[in-house]
Amino acid sequence: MSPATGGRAAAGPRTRVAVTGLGVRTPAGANPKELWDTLLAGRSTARRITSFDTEGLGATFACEVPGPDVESYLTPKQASRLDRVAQLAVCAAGDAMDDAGPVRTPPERQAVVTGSGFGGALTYEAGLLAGRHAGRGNPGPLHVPMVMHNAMAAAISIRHRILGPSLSVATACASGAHAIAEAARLVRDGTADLAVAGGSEASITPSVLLAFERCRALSLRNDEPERASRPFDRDRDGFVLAEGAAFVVLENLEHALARGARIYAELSGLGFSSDAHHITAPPEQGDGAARCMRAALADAGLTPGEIAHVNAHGSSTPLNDLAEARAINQVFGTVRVPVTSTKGVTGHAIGAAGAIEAVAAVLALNECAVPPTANLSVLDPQCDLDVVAEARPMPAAPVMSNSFGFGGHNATLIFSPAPS
Amino acid sequence: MSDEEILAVVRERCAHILKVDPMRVTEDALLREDLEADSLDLAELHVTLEDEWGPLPREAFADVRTVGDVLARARELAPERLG
Repeated sequence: MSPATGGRAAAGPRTRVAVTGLGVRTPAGANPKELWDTLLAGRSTARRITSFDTEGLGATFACEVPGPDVESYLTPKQASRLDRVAQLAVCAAGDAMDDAGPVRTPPERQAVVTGSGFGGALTYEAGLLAGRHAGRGNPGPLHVPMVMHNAMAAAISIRHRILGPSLSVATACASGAHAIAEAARLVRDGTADLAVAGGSEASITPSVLLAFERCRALSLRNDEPERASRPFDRDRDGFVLAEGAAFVVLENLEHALARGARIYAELSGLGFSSDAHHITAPPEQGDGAARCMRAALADAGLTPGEIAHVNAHGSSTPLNDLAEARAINQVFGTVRVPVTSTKGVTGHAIGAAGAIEAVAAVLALNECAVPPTANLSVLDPQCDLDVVAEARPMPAAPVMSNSFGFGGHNATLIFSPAPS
Repeated sequence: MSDEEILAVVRERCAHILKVDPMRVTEDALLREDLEADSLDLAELHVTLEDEWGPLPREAFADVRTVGDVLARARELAPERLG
C-alpha cells in the first residue's frame, strides 16, 4: 500500500487515540461533574416509575433521566422528529463536542459511531399500540426514521455536519463500548482523524420492562428500589433498567496534541470476543470475558499488574457478576485489582451502559479515585474480588472497562493517562 | 362539518406538525417557503387529516403550495366523508 494514499497512516507506529471530550445524560447526572459526584457518593438513582402504570409488569422501578433539555440543542420541529433515545444522544454528543473545544479536523475527516440496544423503543411501542386495527399498529410517516437504530448517528452527523463515516452498532448491553471501540479503530486506521462515539438508550417502556422481567433478568426488590441494583452483593437478584446516553470525542493523538487540546486519557486498548455459548447466559467460568480482557491488555501492551482499576460490567444479575468475577480472576491471577460497578448507582442503561462506564473510567483516571459499588453490603463469597465498597484513591494509571451483551458480545476498553 | 371547523382543523394540524405559531398559518402562507414544510411534513398532514376524516386519496395533497390549497382540497374532501 502506498503510504501516500488517502491520508492513511504509513507503516510504522500505530496511530494513537486521545479522548478529548465527554458528554453525558444519565440518571446520575447531566454532565460529567454531576455524574462523578453521584458515583463518588454511591447514591442509587433507582426510583418508582411514575410515567406509566406498572401494575402486572413485575418490576415497578427504574433509573430514569430527567428532561432532557432538548430545546437547547434542537428546534421544536427537529426534536419532534427524534425519539427520546436520539434526543439523549444529541444532547450528550453535543456536550462532548463542545467539551472538545474548537477542532481543526475537516468535516470529511470526522466520524460518528453510535450504539443502542433498542433504538427508538418508545416510538416503536407507541406506533404499534396506537390505533384500532387488528393485527397492526398505526405508524405515522415519522415512524421509520424515528425507530431505526442509526437515527442517532444520523442526527449527530446532521447537527455537527460530520461528513466522514457515520454508523451504528448493536451488541445489546455492549453497544456503547463497541461504538467507542469501532470509532477508535476508524481513527487508528486513518479513516478519520476525529470521531464522536457513544451509546444511548431510552427503553423504559411497559413492554420492555415486562420482557426483561419475563426473562428473569430484573431485580424485583420493589419495596426498596434504591437497594435493588447491588453488583457483586450476595443478595443481588437482577439488574435495574435504566436509560441515558454518553459520548466521547476521540482524536488522533498527534492532532490533539498539535491543537493544544485538553486530553483526558489515551484510549490505549481495545478487546473484543464472543462467548459463542448461549443467547443470554455467560459461560460459567467467564471464558469469553477473560479472552476479551486479555485481548485488550495485549492491544494496549500492558500486563494485568499495570491496571489500576477495573470498571466491571457488574450488572447485578446473579449469573453475570459470578462469571465476570471468575473471568477477572482468570486474567489477573494473584493481582488483586480494585473492581467497581457503576450500575449500583446508574442501573443498567443497556446500549448506553458501556459508554457511561467508559466516561466513568476516564473520570476515575483523571480524579485518581475509584468510585464505590453502591449497595455492596455483603460481598458474594463466590465473587472472590476486591470490590470497592467505599471510594478509594488510586494512582494515575490505566483503567479497564468491561461490557458484555446478551448474545455473548464482549468489549473491553483500556484508558491510559494522557501523555504529558 | 362547517367551513369554520375545517379551517380550524387544518390550521391546528398544520401548526402542530410544522411547529409554528397558528397565527402564521394563513391561507396565503407558502408551505415550503414560509412554513418550512418538507415531504415528511406533508405526509404527516395527510395521515393526521385521515385520522380526522377517514381515508383520503393518496395524491390528495401532492400539489399543494399554500395553506389555502390544503384548505381547498380539504373542503372538497371532508364533506364527502362527513356528509
